[in-house]
Amino acid sequence: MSGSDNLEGDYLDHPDKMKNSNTVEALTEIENTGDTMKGSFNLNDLRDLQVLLDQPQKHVTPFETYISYQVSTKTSRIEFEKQNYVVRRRYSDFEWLRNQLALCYPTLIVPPLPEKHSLFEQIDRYDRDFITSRMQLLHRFLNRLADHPVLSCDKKYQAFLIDTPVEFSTFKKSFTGFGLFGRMSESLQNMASSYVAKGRTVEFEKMSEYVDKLSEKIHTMEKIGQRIQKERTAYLQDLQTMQPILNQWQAYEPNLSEGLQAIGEAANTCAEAQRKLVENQKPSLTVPLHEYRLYTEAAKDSLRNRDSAQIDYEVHMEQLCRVKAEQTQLETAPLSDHPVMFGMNMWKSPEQVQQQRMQQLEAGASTLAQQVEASRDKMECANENLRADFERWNQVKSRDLKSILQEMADLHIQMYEQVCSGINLWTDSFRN
Amino acid sequence: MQSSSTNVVSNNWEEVDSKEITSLVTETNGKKENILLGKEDVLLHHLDISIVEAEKRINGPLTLKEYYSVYLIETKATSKNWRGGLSPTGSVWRRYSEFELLRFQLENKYPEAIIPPLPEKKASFTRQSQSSDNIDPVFVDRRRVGLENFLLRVAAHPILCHDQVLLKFLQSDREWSDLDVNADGGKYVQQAEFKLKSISTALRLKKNDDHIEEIRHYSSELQSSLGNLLRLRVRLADRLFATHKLHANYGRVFSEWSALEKTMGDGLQKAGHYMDCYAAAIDAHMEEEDIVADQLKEYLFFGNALQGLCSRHQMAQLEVEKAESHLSLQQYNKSRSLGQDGYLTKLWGKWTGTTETPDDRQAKIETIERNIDEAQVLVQTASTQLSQFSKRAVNEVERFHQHKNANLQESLANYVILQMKLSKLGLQTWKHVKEALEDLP
Repeated sequence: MSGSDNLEGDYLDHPDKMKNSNTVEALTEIENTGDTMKGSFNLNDLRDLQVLLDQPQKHVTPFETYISYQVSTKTSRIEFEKQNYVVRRRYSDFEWLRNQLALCYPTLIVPPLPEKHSLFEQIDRYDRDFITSRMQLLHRFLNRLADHPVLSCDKKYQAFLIDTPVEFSTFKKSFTGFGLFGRMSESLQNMASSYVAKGRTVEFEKMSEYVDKLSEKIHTMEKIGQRIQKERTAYLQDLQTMQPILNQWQAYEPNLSEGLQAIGEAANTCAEAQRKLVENQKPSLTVPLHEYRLYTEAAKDSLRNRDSAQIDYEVHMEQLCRVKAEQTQLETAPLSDHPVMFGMNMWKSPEQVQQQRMQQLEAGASTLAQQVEASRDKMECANENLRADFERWNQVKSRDLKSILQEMADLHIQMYEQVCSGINLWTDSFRN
Repeated sequence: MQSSSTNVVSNNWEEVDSKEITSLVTETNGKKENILLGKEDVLLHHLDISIVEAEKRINGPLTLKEYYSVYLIETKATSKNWRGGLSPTGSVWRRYSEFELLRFQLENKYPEAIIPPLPEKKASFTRQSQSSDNIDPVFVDRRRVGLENFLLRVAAHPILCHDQVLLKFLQSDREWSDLDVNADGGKYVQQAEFKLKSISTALRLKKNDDHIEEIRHYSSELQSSLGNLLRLRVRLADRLFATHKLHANYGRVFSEWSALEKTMGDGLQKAGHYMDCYAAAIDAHMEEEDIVADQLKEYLFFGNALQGLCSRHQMAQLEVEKAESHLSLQQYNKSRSLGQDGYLTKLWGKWTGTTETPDDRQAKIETIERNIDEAQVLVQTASTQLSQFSKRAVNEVERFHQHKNANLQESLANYVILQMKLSKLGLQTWKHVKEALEDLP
């Protein structure tokens, strides 16, 4: 690997912490992991940009405790100087990256991150199980970005993949100004959700309806999966008590002894097969499905952003129309119809007032017209972006969901094959 | 007559292919072959017995309705040479309490026999989706099978099958029992059972029969093992049932989802259909599993029958011990009378002022000796009874083991075969699902 300047030990996320000598020494691997959860690149994978996330580490400093992950990049793209990079990043770095991307590309469907650690769900956020599934999702996040035609070329993404810690943290600081803007756009989003765009085209209406329903279906599937998992786990536990019960009985039944023995063994094979299914359920089904629900949320976000671009345009358009209407009214209507104005206008003659008003309107109309133009451009851009990205997302989604479902079928097939072969062994001994 | 298909299944397990699986037929435990293991000439060889139907009846005034079930026993003689004579055909209605009474009478008449158990009065070891109601038609039907099984076992028993009351019970239209069935027959049975139980718990024999103790011990082990197994079976069945049924939700989601998709629609629809099949298949499986569970339960109740035998043996032994203690009392009296010359006796005589003439003493000794003789006869008869009892009981237990080994082996095998079938069905369903998914873009 050529990324030797980024050895694990050198990793320091915040340069100011270098003063603290504890930091480096306190780098430890997650407790009780003999293996370092090392992953490897798939050699058959021919993509020009591949990212691998593995080897989580727990960092303990006097200020905080966190987990970092190793991000390895393999690429043949020309914009990269080298072919291989290895860096370490922590969750907040991923969060920063996603926020930046979501800001810069509001109408692209930016892949989701795993949710923040919630106090209600997880007792220990350094739990091995929690870290593995989070790592799995982060890995998917980076690779989805790598596959994305637009997002993979983003400077911030590339910096995330290759920058040394110092470079990366200065790079991050140069974007802090966007923080405020981010919050603003969020409030705009909220506004958009309460304001329904009038001219929302059928096309996007359909998209958003589809995404809502799909998200609902995936959510239902998650719930069903959880309940089945619960039943299967209980079944597995009960099945494991079969052999002890039969063994106990065997002691008093010399003539049935062999048969009971064989049944006990068959029960154990079945339990083993069930155990595999139960164990694989989470990484192969639960987590990927969950990611897809998050992904549909991301799609909803970009649909909302597009809506707000449209609302923006519509609001400007409306204002322009109002101004134009007043202009025509002033031009055609008799003076007496015009409302009497007080204050500053009291001593001015009605003609003067009208004249002034006309000028005001003229100026307003021209700026508004510019704004309308700009916001229409924005909206059309948003439409175009989203349309293209949604198309792409749809294809990826069909492929991914298909593979999740196939994986589900495969796991069951494996389980049943093992069960059948276990019972076949029994039938052999039964015949003898 | 319920035709036996269990044997067929166990022999042809390897031919259980896809077609057979999709058309699962509920097997009945037609057990004639399993019950007729011995070579003795028994009633069952001369008479076909079956309980063809059960019916719900209502007793009492409208306000105090009492529901009960009656069972129609149909019999058909297959030969004429049976001691006691057989009617060519018979069909009689009997209710559960009459079966109880029959069993009680057999128990009293043949204390040295292991009387086959009756099916349970109230459903036990039930799955969550099963009704525990006494008049639930499914339960009543399973009890019908159980009662038939009881009759077959009794009719195949080398001693019990010769009983005249049994013949009347099977074929007579009129009163079959000396005891009044409807009035206090049931109570009588309960009281007698209670008495027997209280005796057996209070009973402390001087010298326990090792063999009987062994049987008693075995029966409690059998009961605890079968109890554990049945409890486990119910838990497993509940989980399996829920797992399969939950897949129906996938079926629903898939079909709703298919409506949303343009290109994925067909495949999803198909996959959903297979999920529905997967969920539906569990019902038939559970029905069959329940039948196997009933077969295991029968042996759980056989445990009680074994213990009944042990208790009756203890009673017989108690008789011997009572007679023996009576004899030793008489012998003691005799030795005391003969030892009149003893110091204490003399003192006693002097003090009370009575003196026995030699004649008196002679007469007294003679009565005592007569008593001793009587006591000895009692001991003799009780002992021969006991030894006969033991000998027959040994035969009975041997016969029981023979049947038990064959029956349980088969029931357990059936249980495993059922799991196998369900797994093959599962395998096939998921393979179909996979195929359906291949069609997705």
